[in-house]
Amino acid sequence: MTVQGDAFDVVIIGGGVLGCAVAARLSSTTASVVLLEAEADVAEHASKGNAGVAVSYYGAPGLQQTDLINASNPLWEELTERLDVPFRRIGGLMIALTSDEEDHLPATLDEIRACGVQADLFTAAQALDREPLINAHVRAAVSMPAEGIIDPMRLTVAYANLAAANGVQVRLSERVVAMEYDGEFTRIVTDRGSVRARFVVNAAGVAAGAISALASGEPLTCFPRKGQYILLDRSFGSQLSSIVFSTHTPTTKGSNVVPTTHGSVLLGPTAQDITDADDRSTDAETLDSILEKAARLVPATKDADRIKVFAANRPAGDEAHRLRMDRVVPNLLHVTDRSAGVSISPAAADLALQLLWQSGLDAADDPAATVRLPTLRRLRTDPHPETLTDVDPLYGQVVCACEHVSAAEIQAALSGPVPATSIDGIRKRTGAAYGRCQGSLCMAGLSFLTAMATHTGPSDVHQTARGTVGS
Amino acid sequence: MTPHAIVVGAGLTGLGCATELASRLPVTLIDRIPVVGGETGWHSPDIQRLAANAESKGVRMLLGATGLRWEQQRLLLASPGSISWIPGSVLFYAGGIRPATAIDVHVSGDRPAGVIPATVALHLLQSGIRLWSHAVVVGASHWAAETAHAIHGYGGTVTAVVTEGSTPGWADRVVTDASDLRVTGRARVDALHCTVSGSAVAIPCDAVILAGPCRPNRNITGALNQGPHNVVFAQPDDDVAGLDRYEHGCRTAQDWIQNQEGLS
Repeated sequence: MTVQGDAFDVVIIGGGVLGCAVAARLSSTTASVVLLEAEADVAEHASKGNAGVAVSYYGAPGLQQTDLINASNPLWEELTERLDVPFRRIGGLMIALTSDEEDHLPATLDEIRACGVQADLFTAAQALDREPLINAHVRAAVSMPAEGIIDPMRLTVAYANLAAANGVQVRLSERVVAMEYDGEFTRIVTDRGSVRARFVVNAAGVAAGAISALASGEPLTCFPRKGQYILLDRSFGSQLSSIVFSTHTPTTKGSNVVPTTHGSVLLGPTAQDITDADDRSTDAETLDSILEKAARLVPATKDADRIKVFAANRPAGDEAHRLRMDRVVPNLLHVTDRSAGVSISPAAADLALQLLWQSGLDAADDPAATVRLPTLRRLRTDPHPETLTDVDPLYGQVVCACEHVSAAEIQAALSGPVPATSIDGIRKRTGAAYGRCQGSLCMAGLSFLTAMATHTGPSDVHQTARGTVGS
Repeated sequence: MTPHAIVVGAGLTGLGCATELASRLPVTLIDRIPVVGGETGWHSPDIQRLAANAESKGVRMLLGATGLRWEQQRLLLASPGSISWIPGSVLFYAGGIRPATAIDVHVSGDRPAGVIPATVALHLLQSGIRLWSHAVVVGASHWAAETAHAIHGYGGTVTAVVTEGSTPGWADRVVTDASDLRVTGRARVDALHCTVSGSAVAIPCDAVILAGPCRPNRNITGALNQGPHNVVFAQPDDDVAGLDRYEHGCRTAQDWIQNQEGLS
């Protein structure tokens, strides 16, 4: 379908992991698509602030969310290879440390298996054999071998890059302020202009309730659930080989110890329901509690070097998940999820396209579309680093000394289909300034490179998506 | 293999280390920037004298090369246009110091733009650009004083926040014995909050500069922690000034040499 001028087949509201996944999927069809993101970069908020786990099990059997996790989980190896995203299926251990927790394990095991997910009951000895760093007082554990770790920022950016490479317009810093449906098109008014589209995809995360209200759709309760995290240094992370979960209780999924694809380790998240989605503050008391819970699972976390703390707000609501057409506004598709956005994203994108087709989207799969992004070799992890400068001499110029990020990788981040426009944007795409010195060696260099790429001065260069280095 | 020392970092400490070692075994001195001097700067007369002395003792300089990975008696080195392994039987790491990070000094709160390590602030300010009108400088390292000086240079004001110890003389306002540091600000930082003698204090500002205490850099994979017997960390623990760093480097090398002789 060809739509002229400012009119598109589909507008996607939200450049988080779900919005970008849907954009990537639609980009391999003939549909014309525009994605609107209020922030100055994709992969903000919950899509950059999460534990980076591609889960095999999250919720109860029978939920659509569970079906989507099951459909997504086997795809990760192929998909992350195709999109050049770090992923490792390292498996998870849910460990029981008290008799109460031990009593809970069989029920949890039954639920995991009822979801169709592989899980095994481990004795204490088996658990310690799998992950020697867990608390030696472990009584039993559930092993979940299909759990994987993924870089959620690289995943989201890769979805966006693939979409943009196939012609999706990715518009950043453009906030939706009003919507009006005329029976054929929805006119979406933003703070910078307007677009028209036959279909609207609501992938606005924490703001999905507000977007549904603007579209005059069904009520959708969405509120921010704050999670605080502590990041531990790679010198510790290199010793940990499994994700370690606390035993789920009826009230909470607990705190976790999660290796990251960078080699560091994340502790958290906490869960605190708040009202202000922009409140991403950490507090000393909560951070202490994270350390205490983590040390209970993996005692050595106590003495590991800490790199940074951060908080992010994931969408929460009365329902775990809403991925269906609105029942009031016929061209409005909700793609929202509580906590498992990364883990459902491949299958959710497929389902979104099915639902749009069923609702009359006139677009066919486009065999000419690309489904693969070029693989960018990385200095820190490349198996043959001594050959990198043959590809690009800039690989020999190390900008971030902690994470071994070269100027070649930074230039790629600054010039991709959805390029970094801030120091934090480079961090999300390359890991620069993510390490133990937190940019004290490289941030000046990153700000010069960002300033040059964005044609701005040193004072106006963006440190984060929202804020500049100078005032 | 023939014993061969690699010294990473050609500042005062690394020069001291390399010069001392050169009397006993071949030494290669590397630095990630293409000149000697490290933080002291290549233009310092002391640096030029000590570098000339090092070379006269046979120290081989390999400048503009970043050490990445230390494994099985070799070091992976990256320099513009070339990435290669060089052999070495022992690695001396004198890769400089950095200011403590936000988590090192227990800063919680928001994570807005405008919270900046002092080394970065100095680098940017040295271009003479007015970046901030009112900065809070946390810590009392030499970077703190230099950053304050640069901000005063264009008429900005500086509040010093120190958690313990001395009262710095370089600030317009000083908050001592501050605890529970917390940053606020959504897009950019708007204040640093802290507790002083049980009372809450809010300091409005447009930048928070993290300026200490000093921490040693550690950035070569395989040489991150104390442990490997053929890695020697040569950085001073503290904010050791000037030529004392050179002496520290010399002593670290002497201790290692004595230890080797004791073993043989």
